Amino acid sequence: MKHAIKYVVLVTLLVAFTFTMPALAAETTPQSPIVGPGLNVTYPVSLLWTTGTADRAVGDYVSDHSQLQCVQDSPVYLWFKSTSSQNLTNLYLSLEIPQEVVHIVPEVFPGGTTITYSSADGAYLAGPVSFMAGDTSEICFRVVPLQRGYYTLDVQWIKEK
Amino acid sequence: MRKILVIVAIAVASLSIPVLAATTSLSNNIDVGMLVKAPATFVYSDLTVSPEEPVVGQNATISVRVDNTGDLVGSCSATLVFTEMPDAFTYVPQTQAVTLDAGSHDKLVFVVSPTVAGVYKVDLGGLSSTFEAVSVSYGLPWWGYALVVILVVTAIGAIMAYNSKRGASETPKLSFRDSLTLRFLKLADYFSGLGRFIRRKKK
Repeated sequence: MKHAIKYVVLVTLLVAFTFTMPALAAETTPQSPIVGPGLNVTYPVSLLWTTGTADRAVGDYVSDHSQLQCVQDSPVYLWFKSTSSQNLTNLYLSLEIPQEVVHIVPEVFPGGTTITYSSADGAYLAGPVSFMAGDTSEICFRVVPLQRGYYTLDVQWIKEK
Repeated sequence: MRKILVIVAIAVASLSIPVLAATTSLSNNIDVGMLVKAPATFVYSDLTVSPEEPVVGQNATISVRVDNTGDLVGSCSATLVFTEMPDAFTYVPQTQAVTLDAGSHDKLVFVVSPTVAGVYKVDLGGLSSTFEAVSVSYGLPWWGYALVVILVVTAIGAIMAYNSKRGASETPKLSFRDSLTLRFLKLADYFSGLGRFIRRKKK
């Protein structure tokens, strides 16, 4: 009986570690930057953005928080460029903004990447996207502003669940 | 030993669950500030026709106010259309364009000349109004009445002067005092005759 219990506990531990380790590895990248002297935050995926047309990005890609002027009901094309330093699978580019404020036209990108709206996250999610180490990808979103005003579009790559 | 293993298992599981459930950020975060402006939007109001009853052949002014309620400068055009008019009336639609800054307004003015009497219905900027063109004028403006009064007074004065001159040539030469007395008597006679005439008419 004792052996049986030991066996069950060991199996439980093995299974738990099997599921936990990849998540713990991903978790080594912090969710929010650590602010402090001499501390640099490094992410496995870089993210830059610019505006452009439906066909191509115009202007230089930047990573800073910039402002974009647009006209209600007129589409604006947002381009995002990312490079991964690791092999990563099932990533989603998250654009957090209420659906009532902005409509992002559903599209299917090469490789089956699609845009959906997640009510739970309050964000448009484009994915799944897989990267090999050193891969660069460009994704364009056709964004239609629906309401006048000032809004913030919060964009980042996330690993879902 | 068994207790230790159970505690370790519980600890690992409790650590695993939140890690597995969390959404992990794998890139830097970008905040794109979006300033969304409303396009130029035009609202028409205050459609007026002046005069309200124009005389046939005279000009009528039809005006409308247009406001740009959007956030951007823009141009719009409005066409004056007659949706109802007398059969004999011919009209070529007029169009006017205007460029307005955000929040500003202007007035579009059209001048038409109804050549036929009847009811006209105009449509301008989605608004409509009806007016009737009349053949003759049933009244005079204030300056018309003033002109008539001046003409009548002038005519009476001229007649009196003429009569006075004619009377003077037929009568012998009188002194100034006699002449003034004679004129006063004539005027008194005139008013007494006028009074008799009025009393007779009243009876």
